Formats: sequence, C-alpha cells, structure tokens
Amino acid sequence: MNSFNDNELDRWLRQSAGQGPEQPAPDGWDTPPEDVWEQLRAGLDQRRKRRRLFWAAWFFAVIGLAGIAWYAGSTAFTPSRPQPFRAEENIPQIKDSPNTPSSFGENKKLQHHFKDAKIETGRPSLTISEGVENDVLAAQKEITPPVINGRDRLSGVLGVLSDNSGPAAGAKAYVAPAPGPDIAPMKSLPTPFPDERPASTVMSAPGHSRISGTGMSNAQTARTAVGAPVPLPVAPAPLPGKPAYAPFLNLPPVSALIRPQKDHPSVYSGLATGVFFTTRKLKHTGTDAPNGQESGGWIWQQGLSLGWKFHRRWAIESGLQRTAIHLQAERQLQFRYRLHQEQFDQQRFLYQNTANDVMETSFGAVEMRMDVGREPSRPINDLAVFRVVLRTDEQARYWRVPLTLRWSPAARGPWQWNLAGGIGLNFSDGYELRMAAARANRPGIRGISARLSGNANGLAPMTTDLQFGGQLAYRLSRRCALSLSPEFRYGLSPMYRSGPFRSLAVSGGVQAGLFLYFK
Amino acid sequence: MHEPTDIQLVQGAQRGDARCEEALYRRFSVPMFRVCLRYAANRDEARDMLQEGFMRVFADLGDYRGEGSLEGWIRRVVIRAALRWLRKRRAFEPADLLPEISGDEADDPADNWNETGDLRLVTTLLQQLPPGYRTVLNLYAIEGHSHEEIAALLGISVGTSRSQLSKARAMLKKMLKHELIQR
Repeated sequence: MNSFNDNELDRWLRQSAGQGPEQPAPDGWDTPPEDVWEQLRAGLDQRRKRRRLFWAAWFFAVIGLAGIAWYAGSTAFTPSRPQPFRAEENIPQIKDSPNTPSSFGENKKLQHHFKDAKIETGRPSLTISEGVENDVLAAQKEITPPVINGRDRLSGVLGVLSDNSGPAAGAKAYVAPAPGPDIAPMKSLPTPFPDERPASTVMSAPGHSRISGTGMSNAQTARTAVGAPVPLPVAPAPLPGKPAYAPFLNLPPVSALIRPQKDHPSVYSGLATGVFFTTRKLKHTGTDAPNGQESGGWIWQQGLSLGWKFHRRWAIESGLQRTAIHLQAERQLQFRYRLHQEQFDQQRFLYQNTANDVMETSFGAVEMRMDVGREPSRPINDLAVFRVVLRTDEQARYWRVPLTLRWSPAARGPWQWNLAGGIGLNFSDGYELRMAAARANRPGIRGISARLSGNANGLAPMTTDLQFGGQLAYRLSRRCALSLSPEFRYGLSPMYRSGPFRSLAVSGGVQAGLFLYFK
Repeated sequence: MHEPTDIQLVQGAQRGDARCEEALYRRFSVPMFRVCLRYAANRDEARDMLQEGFMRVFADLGDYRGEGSLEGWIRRVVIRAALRWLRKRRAFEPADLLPEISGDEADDPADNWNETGDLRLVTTLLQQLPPGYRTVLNLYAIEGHSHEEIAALLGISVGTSRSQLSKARAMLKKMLKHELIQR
C-alpha cells in the first residue's frame, strides 16, 4: 500500500469502513457513552409530554368552538316588527270599495266611454312572451335549480300568473332547488405508485458483511435476532459513470441517499371544484327584520390553491376561489296604485301601472320597478295599497382567499389524509337578483312583474368566515394526487353591511381536486 | 425469549413504547456511533452527532415504510444529522482557507491508535483530517455521492468539493504512508 491511486484508496476506505466487528471493541472506543441514551430518554419524554399538551389543546379548542357554534345557533332571531308574511298562508283579501260598481258591465256609460277611448297604450313595460309564461308555469310544478352562471341578464324575466280568483289559497310554498349534480365517482384507481427510489435501499454498516454466497448474514450475531433473516434486496447495477462498488457492501444508490424520504414536498398547488349548500344565519340587532322567509341554495365553487409544507406535519395553504352565496326567499312588497299613471294595453286588455319601489332583500335594499296590470272590470281607488308576493333568487358572488393550516399524520402508502382549519376572506364581486311574481292580495290584479333597477345597497364588500375541514388524498405519483375535501364554513362578519340585522353565511360542502407537488 | 424483529421495534417505538425505543437504540447505537466517529474529530463530537441523529430517528420513525433495511434507513438519518451538526459549526470552509498539508503533520502519530482492524485505523486517520476534507471524503469515497450531490448536501460549490476531495486524498495518503512506515 506504498503507493496507490485514488480509486484504490477509495476502495480501501470502503472496505475498511465495512469490515468492523459485530461486537463492540473491548476497550470501548466505538461504544457510545451511556449519557447519550439518558439524554435521549429525557428528550423523548419531553416530546411525549408536548404531544399530549398539543392534543389536549386541540380537544379543548374543538369543544370550545362547538360550544360557540351551539350558542350562536341557539340565539333566536326576534325582530321587533311582525314576522314576514308566510307565502303559504292566505293573505287577507282586500274587498272592493262599496262605492265601486260591482260589475263593470252594469255601468253602460262607463263601458261606452271605455270603448271609444283612444288611449295611448304605448309599449308595456314588459312584454311577457308565451314561452316565458310557460316556463314560469312549468317552474311552479317542478323544482328549478336556479344556478346562476352569470350569463343570464337581469332583465326582469318574470312569470305571469293568471289569477282570476284572487288569493291563491292553494299556493305552494317555494321549494328549495334540487342539489347540483353529484360529483362523479372516481373510477378504480391504479395500483399505488411505484416507489421511484431504486429497488435496493440496503445499506450495510461496518461490521455487517453481505458477502454474497454466505448463508446467514453475520449481522445476526450482533442483533441476535431469532427467526429467519429478512431477505435483503440485491444492490442494483452501478449507474453509468459511477464507481463500481463492491457487491458485498450493497451500498444504496446515490439518489436514495441524496433525497431519501422525499414524501414531504415543500410546495404544492391544486385545482378544486366543489359543491356547497349555503344559507345564512340571522342575528337581530335592530328593529327591522329581513323581508321574507329564506332558504339556502346549492352553489358551485372553483378554486386554485397554493400550499407550503414548512414542517413534516404542518402546511399552510392559500389560494383563490370563486364562490357565491345563493339565497331564495318569498318576499312581500307593497304597491301603491296611482290612477293617473295607468295606461291601457289593448293587446292584453289590462290597465298597466308602474311604480318604483324599494325592497329589502338578503343583501340589503334593492330598487326595483314594479309593473302591475289591472283588469278593467275591477276598478281601484287611487293610492290604493296592496301587497305583492315576489319570489326572489339572489346570488352574491365572491372571490375568496382562504388561509388554511393543515395537519397531516405520517403518510403510509398512497392514501393520505389531513385536517384543516383557518379563515377565509370573501371579496364581493357582483350581485344578481331574479324575481318571479307570485300573487297579490287584491282581486283583479294581474300581470305582476318587477325589474331590478339598482344593486343591493347593503352588500358588504368583504366578509370573513371560519372554515373547518379535512382532506382525503390518493397519491397517484410523487408529484400528483387526487383529493376529496369536506368543508364547513361559518361566517364571522355579516354579509349585510349596515343593515338593521346581522346576517352570517353558513356553508357546508365538499370539493374534489387535483394537487401537484413541486419539490 | 426471542428478540423482537426490527419491524416490531419500530412499531412499538411508533406507539411510544419506551422499551422498544431503548431496544432500538441499543441495537443500532454501536454501528451508528462508528459512522459518527468517521464524521467527527473526536468522541465528544461523535457523541453529539449520535444524539442528534437518534433524536431525528425517533422523530421521523413514522416515515419509515419498511422498504429497505432499518439499519440503512437509520444510517441515512444519522448521516444527515451529522452533516447538519457540522454545518451549524461552519465546518465547510472554502478550500483555500484550510491549512495546507505539511510533512511534519503527517509524521505525527494518531491518538489511540493500535493495530486492531482497519476500521479503527480508517476512523483515526479520518478524524485527523480537517472537517471539510473529512466530510467530503466520507461522502464521496465511502457513501458514494457525486460531487454535485455533495455540493447540494453541504452547500458548497462543485469545485470546492473536488478540491477538498483531492486534498483529502493527498493528506490521507501521507498519513497512511506514515502509519505504514511506523509499522
């Protein structure tokens, strides 16, 4: 060994490092001091204690949040003014004034005057096409999922209900729309992704000879393991350009050493789409109540997320989601009839009257333009006020920025799961209102229509919510995973900016997504 | 009473069984200490590396999937812990800051050296190298890393890795020659 080249030196180093005895040296040069284990023991005990405290904190936090949610839910909303009128109840019918002729036909003078009148009917405020009317009638019979996709213009498309008998005693209550289409079930997934590390990860410590051809590995004498030895994989062929290793050392491939256990990539991104059922919780703070009985609705949500796994168990995630709050209700509006404003429509044989009004909705007051038609046979007093029931379908769209903290346990196999919690910031991005007139509590009023002429004035530009959920993921490969994430959101700030009552959005749903891991 | 297998010890330690944790330590402490001795300059440093390494082993035991031998997995964790320990102490200085090898230094006999096996000789000789040389030589010659991988692991340049390896070999050859002459 007086002179040897670099390769020979390396080989000698490897052989020497791998030829240590199984038992420690008698003089103890290779035996670690005993205090190492004592300090390890103390560290492990401390870690166990920290883990117990951590789970205890989680437990009490969940209990506390559940208690808050229960308390919030148990708080009853008691508006100071009478409850909104329920559509399924009969609204009182306004009888004709005793001074009004009971039958138009009895007054021949009026009939003659009407016949010869040259009244400019002009163009009605809304032309109801037969197709629309059929659609409305069909909608009454079926459950209509009014998913607002943004393409429909709020042009006051409404239905006309022929109601010759006054209040419809048998009117049905508005039914919440059907849920959206089910998320397509995943097809049978491929077998767990193959381990991208080379097959052999056996690494021999000095003293454990792996000379091929020997029977029992002499590692057994050091471990004194009883039972058949676990068959060890054979080292792969050396990579091109790499030094040829002695086979008995079975050194692991380079990639396994450089990036072992790379199952915790630090940055990931994902796309998800989901369906949520959302409604709102009302908290009375003033003297007014929201107009109408509300029910929630199903909405679709799409989003992009970006996450950073800063710890083996913890990750922080954010992103951008497109979401909406979707609420349906039946609301009442009082219409003040002004005789001097009415115009006769010869085609429909109705007197048309128009008025602007303001209606209180889920997201504040909205300005609207009401058009009603009056049957000529049913005269009405000037400034007469009657109630109109409207079915409203409101949607407030948001851009949502979630801030989520995820905790995941040790990952084994392709299936992984985690728990998540955090807050979401919702920035308002549009409001839409659809209305369909139901009926009026006065005989002879027909052709009720309404158009939105403004936006909801109380829509808060930003709201926040608290979110809880989890995620179940299936790793298709090291870089890709499919996920299913149930989630529950509870509003922390009201949707209604400065209204007389607080309205908090409450949602629950599930998202399906695809995640990509970058490093 | 039969000894538990590696998998049984791992499962017990994952559940937090203190006896399994100690058995796991006892089973692999000697081989891992030998590894640490090659990366350290003395027993004290090796002890610190071993302690940090096993703390890491117990913390990451959930990541062990049973693929490959447990000893190999523990060895990788311990080596990473040793490298972190060295990085914390800024051991990987640029090559030009390290002392040049002189013939007089090569003549100094290693401490605690005797003829008991090449392992001890290798360990003793490696401990005499500067930390940067020692680490690069360990990673290249014994563990089989490439210079690019060593550079990524240690946060140095590829050129520094090559330079330190070359100087480490030269220094080791001189020390080895001196030992052989003394024999």
